[in-house]
Amino acid sequence: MENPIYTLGVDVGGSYVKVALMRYFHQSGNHELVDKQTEKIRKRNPKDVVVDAVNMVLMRNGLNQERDIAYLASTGEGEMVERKTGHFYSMTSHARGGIFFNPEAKTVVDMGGLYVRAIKVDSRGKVIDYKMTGQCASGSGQFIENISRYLGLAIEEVGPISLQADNPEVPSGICAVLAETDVINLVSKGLSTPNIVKGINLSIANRVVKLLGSLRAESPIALVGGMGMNEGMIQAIEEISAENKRNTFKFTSHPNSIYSGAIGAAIWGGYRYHKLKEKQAVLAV
Amino acid sequence: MYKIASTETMKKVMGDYFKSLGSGDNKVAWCTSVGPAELLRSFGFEVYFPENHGALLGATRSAMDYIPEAVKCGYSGHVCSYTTADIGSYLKGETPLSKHYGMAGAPKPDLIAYNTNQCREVQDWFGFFAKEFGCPIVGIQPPRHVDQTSQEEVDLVVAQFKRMIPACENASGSKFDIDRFREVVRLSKEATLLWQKVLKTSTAPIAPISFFDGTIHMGPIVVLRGTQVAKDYYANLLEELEQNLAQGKGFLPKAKTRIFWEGMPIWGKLRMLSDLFADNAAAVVASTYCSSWVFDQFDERDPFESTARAYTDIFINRSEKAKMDMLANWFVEYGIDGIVYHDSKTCFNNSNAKFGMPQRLRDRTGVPALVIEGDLCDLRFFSEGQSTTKIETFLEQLEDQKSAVI
Repeated sequence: MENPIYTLGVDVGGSYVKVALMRYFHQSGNHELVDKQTEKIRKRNPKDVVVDAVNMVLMRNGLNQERDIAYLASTGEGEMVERKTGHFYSMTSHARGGIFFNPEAKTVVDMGGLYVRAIKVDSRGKVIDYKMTGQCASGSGQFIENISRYLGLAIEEVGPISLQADNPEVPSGICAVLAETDVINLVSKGLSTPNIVKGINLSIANRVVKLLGSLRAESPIALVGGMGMNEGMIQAIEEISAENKRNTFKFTSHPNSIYSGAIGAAIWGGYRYHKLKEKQAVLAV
Repeated sequence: MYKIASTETMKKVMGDYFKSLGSGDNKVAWCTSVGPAELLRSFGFEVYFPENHGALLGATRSAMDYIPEAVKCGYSGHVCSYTTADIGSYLKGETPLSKHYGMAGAPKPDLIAYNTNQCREVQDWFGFFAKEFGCPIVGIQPPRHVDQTSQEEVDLVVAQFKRMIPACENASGSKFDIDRFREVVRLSKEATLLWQKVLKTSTAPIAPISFFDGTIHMGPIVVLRGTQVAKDYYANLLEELEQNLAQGKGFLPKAKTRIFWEGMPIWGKLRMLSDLFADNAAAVVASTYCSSWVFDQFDERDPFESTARAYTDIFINRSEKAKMDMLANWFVEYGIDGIVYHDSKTCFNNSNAKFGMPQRLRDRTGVPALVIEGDLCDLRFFSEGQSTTKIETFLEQLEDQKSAVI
């Protein structure tokens, strides 16, 4: 029976700090997510937010970093994680996290606070190719947050409410500023909140599907990142994709998808820990 | 920390140039940066380059204060931000030339000359000032986007150059002198060949001059080509860089990747971008922009034809096929790992990422490409956060592919 190690992944993004505690099984590869923590950065120093989130997870599980954690891996804004063992590139981490959620995935779509990126991966989660959305906030999770605030919705409500839409209206997909003015217009026209939110999701979904087309993405496609938890967004992506008969995209998602970067980093951390150990063993001989 | 010592000389050279413009001793011609400066100089004109002023407005980040002034006059905020910033600066009566060189403003032109080899916007831009100053204006309109420039096309441009002569004679009060023209072309050629050698020092594994350094050191080849001053400056700069090369000194000795910059500089973000690439151990060693002032076809034995050909053959004025050939050759020559295209919002003509070329060139050469959106002067079109993420992701992947180790 294999003895696992504990690894921690810390993903510092534009809006949130995500922490994942993993039980890492080097031989079987059947890693387990033990605990998780999300903290919104708001106006705080991200370094302090990281310390709080990591301490919270350690305390909850009765663990001590020095004694129990084999590897603390950072990803995203790695310099904000002062207690890290090592750092992993953001896209590499998200790709690996996507494979954790769906081991069959050939493409991972990371839908974060600032951008969307579609990543072609191999079975280990190594990046083969990728594409990112252009410079515009209208393709980002932050945009959804802004709109939800305007509509008086909590971010958790955005997904479920979108599912209630019966006649969505899609705002401008080109520019966040124009889209926001469109939304104001839709509100004053009396359009229902579910139809507005679904329209926003459809407009972002449209960009995601185009991105996948230009990448010549293969299915199954794992949707990860903060927006990957939004079931309204997932429904919108599936609908837009189905409209184009040439697309045969098949999507999967996971309620923990916001942790994809942290999970991926923790898994790569475990892998690096064992590789370093093997190297040291060889040198000792 | 690595420093190019010649930078101090360069500042003096540029300072002297601007002061000479303000002296009023000579007639002044305005000219596009890849325009017929040699012909103008042969008449004894001091030559002033509004594009250089545009770059200054960008680098000092004052462009955004002036662009709205031009917009008020009907110029769209989406056309060339050199044009709108320069016109706005004039309308507002403010310029960084005052602070940096003690000048009241741009020198009043006696003649304005432009060449649409780079874009048609220069015609509108320079036309505005011709009207403002009641000054004669001459234009060169060569064939655009040429694949291989034919003899007929060169002949057409030669004829246009020759048609400029009466206007130059009237404005300068000097008769055209072919020997003087030959001499200016010779000096210009010698300076431009030295500039080419300067750029090529960075084909070495430890490159002594980056694209970002190049955008600063190219000042004299833009505004002073055809003069002994420019030639001497590049001879000294080359000597310094060759010494650095011999001593293994470069701007990023432990570079993990080598990058090509395509398109306009983002003038107000040069330092930020330079630091970003350096922090990610990426050496930006070459660019189409800095290479655009290499006119290696100049030949004083045939000054009209050789300058007509060189100015028509510039990168920006070539077909996609010709551009791809040039880029593919540079990739090999400079050992390039990845190319970053700057898709400039207001410089359609010098943005090569809009018609699928990055994908086609990547398929042909295997060199990965990244497109970032921004602008030469108007930083409202540039998102630092999003661009940083894109560039970091790109560099991470390049490095990852090169090392293939995790």
